[in-house]
Amino acid sequence: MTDTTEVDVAIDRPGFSLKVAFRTDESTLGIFGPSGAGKSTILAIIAGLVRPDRGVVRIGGRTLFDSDRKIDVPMHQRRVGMVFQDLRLFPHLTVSGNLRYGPNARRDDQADLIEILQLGPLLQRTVAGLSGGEQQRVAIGRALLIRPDIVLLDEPTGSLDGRLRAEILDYLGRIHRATGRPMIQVSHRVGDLLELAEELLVIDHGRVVGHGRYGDLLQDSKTLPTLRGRGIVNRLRGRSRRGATTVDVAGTTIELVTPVKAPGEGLEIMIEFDPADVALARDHVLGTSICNQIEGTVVRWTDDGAGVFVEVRLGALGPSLVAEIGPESLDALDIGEGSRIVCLLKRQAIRIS
Amino acid sequence: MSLSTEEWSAILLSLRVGIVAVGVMLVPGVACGWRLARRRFPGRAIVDAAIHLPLVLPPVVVGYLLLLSIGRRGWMGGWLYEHFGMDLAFTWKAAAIASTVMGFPLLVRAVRLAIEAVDPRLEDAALTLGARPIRVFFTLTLPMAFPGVLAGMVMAFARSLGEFGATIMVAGNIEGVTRTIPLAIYSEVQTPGGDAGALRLAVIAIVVSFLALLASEFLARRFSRTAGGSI
Repeated sequence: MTDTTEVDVAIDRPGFSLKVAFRTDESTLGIFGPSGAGKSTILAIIAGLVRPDRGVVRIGGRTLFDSDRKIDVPMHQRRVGMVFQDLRLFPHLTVSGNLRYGPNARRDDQADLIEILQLGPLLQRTVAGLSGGEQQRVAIGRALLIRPDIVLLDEPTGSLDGRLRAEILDYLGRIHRATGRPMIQVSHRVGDLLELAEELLVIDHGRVVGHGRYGDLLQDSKTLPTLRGRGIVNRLRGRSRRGATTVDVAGTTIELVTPVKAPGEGLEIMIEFDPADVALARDHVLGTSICNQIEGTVVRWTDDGAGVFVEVRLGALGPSLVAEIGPESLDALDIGEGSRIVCLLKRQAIRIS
Repeated sequence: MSLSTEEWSAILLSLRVGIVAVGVMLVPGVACGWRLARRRFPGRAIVDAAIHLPLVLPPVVVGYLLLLSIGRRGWMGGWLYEHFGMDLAFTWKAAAIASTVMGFPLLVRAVRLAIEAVDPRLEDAALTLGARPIRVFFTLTLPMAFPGVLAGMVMAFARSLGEFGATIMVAGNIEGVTRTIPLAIYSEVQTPGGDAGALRLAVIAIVVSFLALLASEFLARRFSRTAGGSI
């Protein structure tokens, strides 16, 4: 079985039109788009909840829908593990009853998944009494226990905040590594998608406006208008120590406001900040309150009319970050490809995720 | 309070007619309620109206129509008599049929409302988990709608206990055969000095109805506890 996911579908309804085609061999894909763009509809089509007017859906070489060949596999035979945005746990059953609901729910997988999702102590509880994060874990476990060909996650962190969000993403990452099942995650938070997937599909008004690696999409003038706002975020992986207020990223030490809370020594953490919070300078700036001055080289930039996104690489082969500056500033800086540049980043702008 | 043989037979007959009527209508009633709640089909409004007709028709009219069809000269009764030598009219079975027809809309209505209250998105979720539609119905829809179904059964049973007009038309008022509690009360009142008996039977009717309500409440609670959910 391959991990190829192929979707080419169209829906035309009064007031709603969706025409989406994509194909991916990656085992994780993130779908980003503003509310109402049609992200969830794509998942619903794959799961068989919504029937497209025409098109093809193929998962791992198995055709689930093909309007030309008159194939429409019924929902219960699709082997698609859907984690709904509104969870849809069964209120009349216990946690254990929910997990075991699927007639093909595998007992041998159960122990592992319960372990990963830490559901053991909850098994006999009713779902109504669980917290939001616990309910989310049950929904994830329930969908995975049927050994689906693909896992569809509709805003799995949607109703959660801060620490719980990071926790669920962490569970999902572990599950993906443990089961190797292909996953498609839909979110309006690009940071959540990048936690699991490197490849993104960007949807707006029912159309694909970008598909590829995030770094490349940031430089695509077709995608940029959709990514603007919530869709653009810098995420850097670094090392830190418990209680430290600094994190090392690509040989640079970045100062934080709050001490790192997560356990473990020399642990990997992820920091996030918005491109608009990065200022650029030709050289280190003296006499400023900004304590993070990170050196890098300009890779490329894109002007989407409202602002210029400059991609800066840290170190020779290090990660890159994006700074958003005004067009006039670009002229004033007088930079070109390969120019040495200093990124100024207020530590108050950095979020730990 | 001691009861006469006649009174006992009326009580037992009423219980039997009620239980049989509810038992007979249960499966078709749930099926109809589900279909009306979940499926759009041509002529749905007409089917809906036809099922509810006994609620608005005078019971005597329903009884008369039943008599026309299951009487020995009726299209169905005639056929049954010819092929099986079976008589329905003026037997306790006719009383049960009358109760079934009169109580059916109450059951269907309750089932329909209860199923409409079950979120269809949960059913979709169950389907994506690989459960066949029939399994989804029995493991999700029906358990969640169960308190409503139970309420419908109690309503239909109570309707049967009170059924008078249709029963007297199609089953008559034969002592020990088709004389249910309401008919017995009516007969007692018609008889000089029968007031005490009528009152006794009225008390019995109240007690039976009350017990049925209590039992359904108890079952609904017990069910929601074993199912581990809050309903």
